[in-house]
Amino acid sequence: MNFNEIQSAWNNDPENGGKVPTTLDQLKPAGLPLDKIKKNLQNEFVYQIVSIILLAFLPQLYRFDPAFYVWYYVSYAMFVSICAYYLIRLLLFYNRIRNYNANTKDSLYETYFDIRLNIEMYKTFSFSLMPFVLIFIAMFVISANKSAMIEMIQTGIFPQAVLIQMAVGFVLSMVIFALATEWWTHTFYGKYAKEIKSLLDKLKEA
Amino acid sequence: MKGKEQEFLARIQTHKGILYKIAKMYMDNRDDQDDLFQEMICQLWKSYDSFRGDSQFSTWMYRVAVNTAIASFKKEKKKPDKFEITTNNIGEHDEDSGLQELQIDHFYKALHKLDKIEKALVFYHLEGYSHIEIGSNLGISEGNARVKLSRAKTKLKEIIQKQGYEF
Repeated sequence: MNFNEIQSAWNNDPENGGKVPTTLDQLKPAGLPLDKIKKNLQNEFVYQIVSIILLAFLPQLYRFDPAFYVWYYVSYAMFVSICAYYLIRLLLFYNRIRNYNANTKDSLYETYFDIRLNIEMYKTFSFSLMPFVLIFIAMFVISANKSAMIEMIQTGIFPQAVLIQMAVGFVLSMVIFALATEWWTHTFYGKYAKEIKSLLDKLKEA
Repeated sequence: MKGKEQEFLARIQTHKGILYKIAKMYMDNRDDQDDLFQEMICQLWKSYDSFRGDSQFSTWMYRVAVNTAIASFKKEKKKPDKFEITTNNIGEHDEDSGLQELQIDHFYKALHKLDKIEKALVFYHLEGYSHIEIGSNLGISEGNARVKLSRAKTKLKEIIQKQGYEF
């Protein structure tokens, strides 16, 4: 076999595969990375809505001190505003029509930067929620140990062990939250960016 | 809208053979090939408004279809056993058409071992594109296209030889 024979076989290949639908409604596409990311985002949108609804009842479910209610719902309102802002932005972003008319390199660059931008936006979103998570945890901890906490606040004496526990808990929560965000974005979005970056590298000057 | 859709589908019907060839180049089993085929039609439709008629429909279609194939990832699922080409299969073909059929089978099998960019280079080459046209479609220089195509062909030759076929 040589390339002339391959060319001849290619030209004569009576390719009959592929069924063209009679209407475009019958198409079932789902293979492109941005479409997959969009699907992931849509799923997350549902989980976020469920979480937001459940968080609205957190003070009642965990019997928070009624004195915290106002502070909780002020924080909660800010939390919901931030969630709504980012989720709407992310969904609008992926409803844009992609450009596959450009040459391969430009098309891949556009896809790559879109995915990178999504990852960064997602991380910003997650980190902006972190203070609220800490506030909610703090309210939960204080409500669960109400009498001891009131005593400490009234006397102004905080045992060193409690302060260390609070500091360690705070730092650990931040680290776990940050690592979880990194892992999540890498697993669900980063692999697509990595694959497209490797294709772009292959287009570089030989 | 319906008229435009029908016009589009009629054009795709005319060129469906080449679209399926691209799908066969990029995917190694029937299910993935059918999925990619549908994906390409979908992306072509989404981009159809940008087709101005300055170039031939097929030229525009090649670019969008190849870009779609390059940007597509396989579904993460267990693959069925692939059809292995062995010397036992040779007897199943008639002399002339059978030989070409066997050659094209070996060729596709070897193609699946190339990366996505190399597949695009070989595809454009087989469709008679010049180095400058290949470069223009991929967004690289003519020289880069020439070097990369030459390397892809050498790699393809080595793979075919490893499959036990003389080249």
